[in-house]
Amino acid sequence: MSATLERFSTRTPSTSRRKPRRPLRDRLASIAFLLPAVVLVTLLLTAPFADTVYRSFFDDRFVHQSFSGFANYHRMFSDSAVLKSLLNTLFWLIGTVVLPIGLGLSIAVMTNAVKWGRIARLAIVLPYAISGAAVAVVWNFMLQSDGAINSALKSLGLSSLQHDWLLNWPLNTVVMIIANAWQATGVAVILFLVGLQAIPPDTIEASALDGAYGWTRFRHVVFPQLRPVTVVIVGISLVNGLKAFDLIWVLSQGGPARSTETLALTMYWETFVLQRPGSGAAVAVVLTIVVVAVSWFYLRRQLRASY
Amino acid sequence: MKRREFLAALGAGGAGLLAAGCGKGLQSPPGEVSFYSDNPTWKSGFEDASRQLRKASGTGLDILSVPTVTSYEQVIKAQLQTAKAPDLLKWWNGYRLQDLARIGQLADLTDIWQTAAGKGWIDPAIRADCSYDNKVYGLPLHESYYVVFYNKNIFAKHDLAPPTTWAEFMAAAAKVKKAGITPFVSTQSYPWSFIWFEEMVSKLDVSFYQKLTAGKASYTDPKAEHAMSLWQEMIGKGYFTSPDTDLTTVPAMMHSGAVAMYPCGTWNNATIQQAGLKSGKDFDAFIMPTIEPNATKSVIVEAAQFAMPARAPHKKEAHDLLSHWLDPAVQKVWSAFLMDSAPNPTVISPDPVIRNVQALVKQTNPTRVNRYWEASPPALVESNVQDLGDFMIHPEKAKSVLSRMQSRAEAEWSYWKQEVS
Amino acid sequence: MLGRTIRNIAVIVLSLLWLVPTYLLIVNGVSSVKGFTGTAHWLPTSFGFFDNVSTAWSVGSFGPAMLNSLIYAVVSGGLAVLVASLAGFAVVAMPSRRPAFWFWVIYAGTLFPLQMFLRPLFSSYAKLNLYDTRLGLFIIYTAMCIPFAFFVMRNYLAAVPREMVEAARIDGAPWWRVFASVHFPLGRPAMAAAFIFQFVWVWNDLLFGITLSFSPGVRPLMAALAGLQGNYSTVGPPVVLAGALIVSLPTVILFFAFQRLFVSSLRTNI
Repeated sequence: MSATLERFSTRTPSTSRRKPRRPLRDRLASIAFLLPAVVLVTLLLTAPFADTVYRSFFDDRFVHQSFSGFANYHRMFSDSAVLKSLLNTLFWLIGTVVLPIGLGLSIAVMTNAVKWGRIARLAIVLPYAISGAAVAVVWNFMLQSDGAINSALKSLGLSSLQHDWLLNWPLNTVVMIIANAWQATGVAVILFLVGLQAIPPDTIEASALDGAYGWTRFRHVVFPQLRPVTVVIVGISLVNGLKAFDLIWVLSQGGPARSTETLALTMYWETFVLQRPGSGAAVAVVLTIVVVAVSWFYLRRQLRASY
Repeated sequence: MKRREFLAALGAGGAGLLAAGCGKGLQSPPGEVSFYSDNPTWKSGFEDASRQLRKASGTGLDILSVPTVTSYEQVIKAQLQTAKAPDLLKWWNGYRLQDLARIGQLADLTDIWQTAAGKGWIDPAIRADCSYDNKVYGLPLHESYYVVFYNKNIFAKHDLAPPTTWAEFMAAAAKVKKAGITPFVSTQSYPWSFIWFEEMVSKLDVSFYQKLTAGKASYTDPKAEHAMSLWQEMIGKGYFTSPDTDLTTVPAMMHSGAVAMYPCGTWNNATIQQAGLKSGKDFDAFIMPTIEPNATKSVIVEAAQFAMPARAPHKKEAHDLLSHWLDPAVQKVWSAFLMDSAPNPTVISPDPVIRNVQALVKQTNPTRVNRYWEASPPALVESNVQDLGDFMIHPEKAKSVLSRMQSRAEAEWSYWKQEVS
Repeated sequence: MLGRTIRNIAVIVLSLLWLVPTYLLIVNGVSSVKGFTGTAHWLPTSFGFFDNVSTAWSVGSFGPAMLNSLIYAVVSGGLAVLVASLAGFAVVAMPSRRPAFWFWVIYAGTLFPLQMFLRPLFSSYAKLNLYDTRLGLFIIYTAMCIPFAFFVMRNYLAAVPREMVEAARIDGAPWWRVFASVHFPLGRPAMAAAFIFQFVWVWNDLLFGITLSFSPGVRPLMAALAGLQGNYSTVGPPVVLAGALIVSLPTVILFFAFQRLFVSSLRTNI
């Protein structure tokens, strides 16, 4: 009886409950629903990863590879280019979470409150729909030493602010993170906007009656309501930041002197340019572990709440 | 939604998918052999050549272009190991060709070479760059020379003639620099940082360049340091475009008169003309003079190859076709398309600039050396090119860059020698 | 009052700054090849947009490539969203011993760096005769779209009240009917939003396109655009930019046509 009552509970799935015994048919049905997704993902996404892990324990000879244990990993961590790449990856991780989300939230909040917010949002969301190739080419135009930014600074009389944006580390990594944020903020704006518009107006009015305005209201009323959306955005941004590749490759190919490489680029460089698949596989494994660890660390609290 | 309808829709969709999805596979039409190349812009040229080849050998080319260079290497290397190897492929020469040849992935083409050499249809001097262990594994697709393209209008305006000595070369640079024009194009965007490096070293001492790239001389040798310090000086004088210059914008820069001289391979001839410069009239080319007046003259050569996988499915037809590649009839149509130098030395290009370069080469008879990109083991070159980029941005680092390149050279050469064992 | 003014100014400044790269893209893509001097223009000086587009279209074989991309984006996106919804339903509504386990099995698909797939996938595809086939690209695109769509759908469907599921089950409905009559209609907006995201992703994919295909009948649009750039490119930057503008047009249109749907559909509360 209590089991039945529990199943009819009006509480949301975020409460824990006893698991009743399930008939076999339910279990089979569950498997049937999960199967297509699990099969496709396992075969096409997880299996190549398993193959990569396997490959990382072998050396780089072309025809007959021999087992080399952790040699690839050892070499990787004593390579200064890889260590710099790790540092850049950290920069990207922080940059792609803080910038698009911070900006996205502010823009969503600010434009939500004005009538002409839609037009402003258009400008900010548009880059997301533009192809990556176009984004990279136009930012290249802008960031080159003879490019649009420097020439604009010159004509505005601000020549002293001119820099070789792409040529010196860490400025080049910072600049690329900004270029990435230009495109990524749009998604954050949309998702935050959805979250904002889903807040019941009564809640806002009630808080106004309680004397909460502006920043206080935002911090204590609005922001907590945005938590589910924030989870999605942070989850996506973490992963995208760690996997950033296209923009960096087109703008600098990981150079000059491999100074703008992130782990994703190092993996590409080792596997496809140096033709060292074993070393590349080791880098890929390390990167994946980092991404999984970061994602799991962030998402497990949210998931625990749901289950 | 009824379950049956749902499942039926799924089934129909799946069948449709399968039908739409099945590709033609990798079978070439009969009478053709499959030919993989990484340059889609050469397709119509290959088609012209294919027509001639079909007349001579009975087989034509089924031209398949994989547009991105890095994925091309990956695709070919993976396919060579399967039963679906292509019949013919475009590859690099030098150490990149050796990379495939020494593990038995390519077929021996020595007999074709010897026949062609006997008829004078191929220059014997470049045989070493198409071979491994004395056997030939590739036939050149073109023979591009690294020259300095120059804007004739700018030169005329400043009373300059193509320089024949280093002093004249530097004087020309100084003069245009004074007039506010950037003298030289230079870039470190991947992978082009080697262009100026190979020129500075080979024009200083060509036999040192050959030894250096063969792993028999050191990057920290005083000769290398001398070349780098000369280069450093030129950077200091502001003679170069910024290191992040995009080469696709250079033809437009030449057209608008923003740069005067552009050292590059003659394969760039066609692209420069597309920006609106007329061959021979608005621009021409000279070979960079040696730094010392009495030094041996040299020219850097780049020659992509026609190679045949050892596992080619249609070996006999591909071999027959290749044996006619260097025929003057085929080379003529190829040269007319290419606007670059064809590998058969008896075929003169119809393009004015190329014709001029070919004449210069015949006249001065410089030592031919292979381009840096193929002149050393690939992994060594790829990484050194990045370090050269670092130098171009921070020229004061010349010594440390050279020593980095040397320690890497030692590691990579020993790795290269180990790999076949 | 001051706060409001500051906010308005901030919004205006941000929007203008944001528009700068888009503006440059358009101005330089519209200028003619002959009028291009090698560096980016801030002001339009010449007009050659239609010439640029037609050059890009013909040299890059955009026609077949655009059709290919359309098919891939619609079919793979749609299929992935459907499959992901089924899985999302299973994870939130059906009783399961280890829902978090299944979540991670599927979601982990999105955590791998894309480049990691290239070598193993290419080798398997070559062996299985899937290289340079449409089926090969369908499969990988669908698989790649599932994890994120699953993430979105799971979050969304988790808010469906448990009572509705229990009520239907008490009535003796089999699980597929619970899905079809409860979660599918309720989840439609989120499915639409997820579909749009996946459509944009597949449409903009470059890496799998250039690695797993090359012939014009199979190759997607971004791979065709890549053919215009690259080492052997003989067309100048204005043509490439014009090409980039053209290939971006469908996603831009899609995004803005469905903006309202988007905004109203991604709600996490019902």
